[in-house]
Amino acid sequence: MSIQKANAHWVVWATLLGAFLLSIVPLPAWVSIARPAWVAMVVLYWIMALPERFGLFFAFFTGLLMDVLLGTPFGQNSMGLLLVAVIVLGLHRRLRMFPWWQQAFMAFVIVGFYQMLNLWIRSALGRTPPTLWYLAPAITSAAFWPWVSALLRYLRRSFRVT
Amino acid sequence: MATRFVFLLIICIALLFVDHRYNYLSVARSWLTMVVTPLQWISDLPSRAFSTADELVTSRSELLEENTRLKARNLILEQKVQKLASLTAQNLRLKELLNSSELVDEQVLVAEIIGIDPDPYAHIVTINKGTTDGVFRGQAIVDAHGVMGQVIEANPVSSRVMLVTDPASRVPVQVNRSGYRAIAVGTGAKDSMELMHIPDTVDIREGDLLTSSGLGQIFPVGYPLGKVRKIVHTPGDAFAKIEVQLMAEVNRTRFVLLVFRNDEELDDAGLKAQESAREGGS
Repeated sequence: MSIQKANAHWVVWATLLGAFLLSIVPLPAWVSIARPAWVAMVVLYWIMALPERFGLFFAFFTGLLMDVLLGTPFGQNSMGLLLVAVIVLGLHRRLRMFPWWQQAFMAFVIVGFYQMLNLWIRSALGRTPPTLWYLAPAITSAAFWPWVSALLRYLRRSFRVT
Repeated sequence: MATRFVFLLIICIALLFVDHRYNYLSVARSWLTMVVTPLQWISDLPSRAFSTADELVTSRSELLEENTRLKARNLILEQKVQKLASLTAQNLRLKELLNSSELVDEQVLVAEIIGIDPDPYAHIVTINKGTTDGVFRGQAIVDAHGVMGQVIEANPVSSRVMLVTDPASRVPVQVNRSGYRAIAVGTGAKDSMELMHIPDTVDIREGDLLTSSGLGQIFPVGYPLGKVRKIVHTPGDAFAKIEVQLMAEVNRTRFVLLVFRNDEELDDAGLKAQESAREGGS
């Protein structure tokens, strides 16, 4: 596998850029409480699809960029995405075999861990009072997962991203 | 993989610790922000496009109507300004009598809100002025009606502003009628704050105007913060619960004013800021 040459990685960066944009587009407060964790979903998909290309460092640096973009302390999102990466790297063979509903459930669990870690760090630094509303993005992410993964799969196949 | 994971995890924890406790990373952050500012600009495009389209299709009659309204308003404001000049002079004379060396005039710089923090639990916005325009950390932001927030991160071409409604925000205030000092706390509500630790017996009534007392060294003295909307005395509690209705249109305005309190701050800002302040002030 590793002999194969990398191809069309710009698709990955483009989808990440899209996810970044979606995660900062202004929304009304009540919608933005449940804003899906787009970046976490995209990172999840690419690590699941191409674990030999994208892994911990990819997640770490994406997280750092996200920290700058969102103004969160350095390390908050990178730690969250690192957690996503390590779970997906361990499970990617099984995740690929799952039917869509089971995959969506796993997306819920993984994004849930990501949100939970974010919440812990934030409340440890005294940024927000802890509330379980913080898990709402996990539910919406799971709801969006079938479409997100279908779109990313379509992009991966049509541009032959390897 | 495990070693790499542990290695990166330790880096994350170290970053979190350093960023939380010390100030070393703020330079790196402000330069990295330059990289992501275009992203913020793009994400703001839809609302920008909407308002442009709105302007394009405004009918002539509406414009005429607005013009008359604004002229009338301008007249009223000018009349008030006439009085203001003499009042300011009088105030200065009286202050001189009292041997107070306080500076009355503040200069302002107009900035535009270009982004809103996507985090629904924080009330933070991004404005389009940065350290190159003289913006500094801890600078006060007001709008046409009252105190609005403070700069928490000054980057080269943009800055992040914590609004007074943010749960982490505190504003030292004074009751205009009685002079009683208090601290207003952001609650995360959209247009209100609360007063902290006010005993039940203090002379505060509904409708009282609260102005910034200037004691926190961040908000300049005398700007209105809001009016007391509701006072609740609960018999078992040590303190009264006092709700403040904000004057500033924290959630609706697009343009804000950065306040420079004295000449030093203005000198730092340089000529450019002075010019725009004059434009904004005239």
